[in-house]
Amino acid sequence: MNSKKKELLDETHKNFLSSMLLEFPQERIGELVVKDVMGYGTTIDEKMFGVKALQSIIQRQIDQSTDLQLDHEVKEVYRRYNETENIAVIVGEVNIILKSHDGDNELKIRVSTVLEYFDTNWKVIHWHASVATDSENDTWHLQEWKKKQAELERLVAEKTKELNQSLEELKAAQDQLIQQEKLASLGQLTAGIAHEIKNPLNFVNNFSDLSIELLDEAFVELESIDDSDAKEEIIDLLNDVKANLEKINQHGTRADGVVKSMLLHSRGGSGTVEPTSLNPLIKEYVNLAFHGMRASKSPINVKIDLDLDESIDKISINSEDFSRLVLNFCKNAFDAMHEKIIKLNDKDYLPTLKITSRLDENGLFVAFEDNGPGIPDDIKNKILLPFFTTKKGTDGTGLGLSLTNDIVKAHGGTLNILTEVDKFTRFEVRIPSNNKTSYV
Amino acid sequence: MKILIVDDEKDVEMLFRQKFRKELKMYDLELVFAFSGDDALEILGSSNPPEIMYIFSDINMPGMTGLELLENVKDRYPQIAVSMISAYGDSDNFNRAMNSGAKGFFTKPIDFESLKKEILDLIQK
Repeated sequence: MNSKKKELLDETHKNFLSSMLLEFPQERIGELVVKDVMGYGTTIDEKMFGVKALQSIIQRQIDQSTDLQLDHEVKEVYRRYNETENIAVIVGEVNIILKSHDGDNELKIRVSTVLEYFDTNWKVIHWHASVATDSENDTWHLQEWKKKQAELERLVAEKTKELNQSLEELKAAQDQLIQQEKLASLGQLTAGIAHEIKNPLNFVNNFSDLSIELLDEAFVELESIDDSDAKEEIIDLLNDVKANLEKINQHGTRADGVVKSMLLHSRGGSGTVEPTSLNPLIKEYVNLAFHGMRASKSPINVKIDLDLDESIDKISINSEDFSRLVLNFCKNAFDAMHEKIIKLNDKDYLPTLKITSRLDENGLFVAFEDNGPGIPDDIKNKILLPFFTTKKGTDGTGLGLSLTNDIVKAHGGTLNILTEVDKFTRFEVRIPSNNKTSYV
Repeated sequence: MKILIVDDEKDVEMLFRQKFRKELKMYDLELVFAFSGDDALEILGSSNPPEIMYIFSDINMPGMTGLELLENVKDRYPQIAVSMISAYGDSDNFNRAMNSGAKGFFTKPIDFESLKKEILDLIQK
């Protein structure tokens, strides 16, 4: 072969490889290959007939090469011509280095090219490219195949686990929704009942109260009557009637308290959310709860431990509701610790209520921890339900914690209960900062 | 002095009469009762000008509500004082009553002490 013809062959072959590496103008590929060129690329879909197919693959490579820097070296490993020197087979190994921002990658491609000479130039009539894989002594790539299989199985297992988890989360969310729906309709129902009961109850309370006043007046009138056995008997009877009326009034007042709590519970968002100094609010209402407890029929000595984040300034909350929340948690803690004192009868037990407040990028965190009797597992998930109470007789309405939970939810927060029987109970309120400005 | 009390609960009459027993004896005070807004307007219209000086009305009543009665009375007899008595102590009712010219707003259960004070203040004027 004369040197001119060989030079042309080398150039065409070089340009053809360059075109694959995007270094030769794509639109001029027609100069390098015959119209009906056929070739195999390295991927399964790269089975190309004609110039257009080749161009579209190269376009795909261009699209994928954004942010990539290509470097390559070519090593020719075999060359042969036919007798007339019009057909040439050239086999080369192309080592491509792909440089991207997350590191370098090496790609080794074997390219066999068949070229034909037409009067003045050489053109590629067929090529075949393949990627050599690292599977030593494994002609059928069994190990690789098994590895891929294992990898796939692992992926499937992982996805299945994720799906199962989402499914469980969905179920939990659904349960919660159903629960909330039930509570919402219960709320409407109770509001209706509460209002209907409130009026007759007012009459019960008013008339019993009034009758006590009238009896007192009757006693005054009786003083002007001469003493007799009959008068004694009347006074005794009237005293019994008065005591009964007091009982009616006492229980009526108790029922009125329940009705009021029910109305509070179902009342839709009264009070307004406004920037409130949280720590002073906590201090004030803890103090109020403490004095309320001291004045009640079951006072206890309590150590109150305030651990408040002094960096907290004004926070957007519904202060009316939030103060009720503080009162409820404190009252609950005092009642629980009172119960423990009675049960334990241990002089060394010092009831302690610890209140913590924190503010960070996740939002607001407030915790109320008492060292009372704790909450047994079997009732832990019931204590937030309306009308659930462990307090006997007239002591509890069963609405305090349920109401408190509603207040937390109304602030977009969550209430978490940590407890250990005989050790402690800790109510944790978390209110996420949806937008940072709301905490300024 | 005549005071009109409007409430759909008929037992209100017995309760008020007993609660104000002493005051009814001691002062020139007369209690009149109406069991609906329409009843109340009829009583007011039975003499010209009406003898009633003060109206205490419940808000939640079948037919004409207390707030409608308030507007009606203020429209026809602006000289008569009207106060509301309601179990619904919410700000909506309160604001509406005050904006319509109510003199006072009492919540149920009624605090008779403050009600007596309100009435005695009026008598002493």
